Amino acid sequence: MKKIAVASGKGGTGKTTVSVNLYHFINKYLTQEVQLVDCDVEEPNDLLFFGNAKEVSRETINQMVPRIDNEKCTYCRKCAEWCEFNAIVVIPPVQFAEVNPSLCHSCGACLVACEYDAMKEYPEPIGEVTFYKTEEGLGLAEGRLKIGSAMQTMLIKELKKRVPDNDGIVLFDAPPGTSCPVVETVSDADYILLVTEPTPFGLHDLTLMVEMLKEIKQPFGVIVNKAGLGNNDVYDYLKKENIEIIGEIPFDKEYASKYAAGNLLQDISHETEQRYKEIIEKIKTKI
Amino acid sequence: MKTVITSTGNGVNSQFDKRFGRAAWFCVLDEETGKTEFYENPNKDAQGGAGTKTVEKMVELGVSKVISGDFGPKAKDLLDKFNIQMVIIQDDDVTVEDVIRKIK
Amino acid sequence: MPRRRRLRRMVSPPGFKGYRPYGANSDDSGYVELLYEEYEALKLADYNLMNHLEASKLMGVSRATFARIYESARRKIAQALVESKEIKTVYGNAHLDKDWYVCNDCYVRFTIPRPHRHRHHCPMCKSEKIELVNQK
Repeated sequence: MKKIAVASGKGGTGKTTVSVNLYHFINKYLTQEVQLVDCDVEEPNDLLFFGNAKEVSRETINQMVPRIDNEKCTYCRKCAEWCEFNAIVVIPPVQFAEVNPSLCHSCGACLVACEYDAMKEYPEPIGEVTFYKTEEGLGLAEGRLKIGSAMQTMLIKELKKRVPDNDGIVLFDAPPGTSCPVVETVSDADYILLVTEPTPFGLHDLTLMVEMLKEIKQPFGVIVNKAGLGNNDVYDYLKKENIEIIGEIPFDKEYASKYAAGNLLQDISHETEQRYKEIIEKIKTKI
Repeated sequence: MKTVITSTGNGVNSQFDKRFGRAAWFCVLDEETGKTEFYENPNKDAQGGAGTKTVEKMVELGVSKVISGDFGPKAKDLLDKFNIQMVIIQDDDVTVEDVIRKIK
Repeated sequence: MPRRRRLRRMVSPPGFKGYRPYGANSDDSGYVELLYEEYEALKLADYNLMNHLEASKLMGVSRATFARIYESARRKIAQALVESKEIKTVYGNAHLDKDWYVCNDCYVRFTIPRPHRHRHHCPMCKSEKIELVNQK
């Protein structure tokens, strides 16, 4: 099983567009053993482009959050001192001790810290992982974070764990940005496609992404989406940094309207299909 | 009765700080004697939970009133639980001394 | 970072959730959102017939800000009438926390902890001219 992550740094450059199209064309030209995984758990939207997708399974994902047993607690404050996230409030003079689930990262440090067996864990839902069958390929898996939860990274980890092994390709559609959820998505990928746009914002966030990937030593190439817009700075940067361009997708207003209407995979133009075919040829050499 | 006034510095001439959990300093005023003490806020740059940590400190100091520019939802709940009075001042340009003078 | 929006004081929130035009096919003509502070401004100026300066003081904003809120309120209502839109009232930037009081002398807002509910004076200036911000 080969893992390809689609990431971008900047939001709105076309991660979802590229992921959904790649899923479609990999199925057509490379292998039908292809699985799409929407890791943008804060707002997963890949599903929107698969009108006939059928839900296969749905699972609630929990994080374990500790609760303090006030009978056993001696208010020694050790748990609160160990907690890196300020999630535990202990006020000895008034015999008050409480864990704030919205700040807890379930690291378990407080369980180790407590010498009086006053910490017990209980499950707290953070979101859902859902598998869908699509008309082509192996299907779509998606994580959906519960509103108010801050456990994106944990949910992505659980989502990835649940993706069954196959003999083909898994595509991870990453969240925007360069923070923990993105690192979690791309860290075990065999190859990373960075989608950018030739605008100052696109370039700025691309450089952040490139720095991050160099730091974690992951192989990557760039797809320039909306080519023809903006300026040449992105190309100059890629040349200077010796980064390979895997493909270019020209800006097309009609294509954008189709995306907005949710019809990304209907009547794809010959031009677009050619571009993705070339991209897949290049990816083949990378994995 | 102890009152805390959030402050940007460690003296009564410092500007009033409109943040609660992320205030730079806390001025603890004894309303009977008029004496003030200043504590630096160790949580002002915390990633999260600065408000609740600060409430923890307030309860430990035995404070009964806090004067600040606003309070976050978690801090509000906790301060309420421990019966600490919250006072919101929205004046921009006041020093801690101005606030103390107003109380008297 | 933009400057924080000062909260506007509300004496009392509107006693309705909205208005709907009748005799007009209003289903698809949409709605306007009238903020609580806009309702308050309109009430003070056109119902209580206060001048803008008095009204602005009561709401705890500058006269210019009051004028802006008031202008926005009138435009929204005019738009609703002309275009047969519904009027919905929403919170906006008005302060309506349940147990918050405001001092009418020095304009600070404050809570009164449960054990001291009998103490009815401002914690800053000791004025007794205080009122619950939201009496509903």
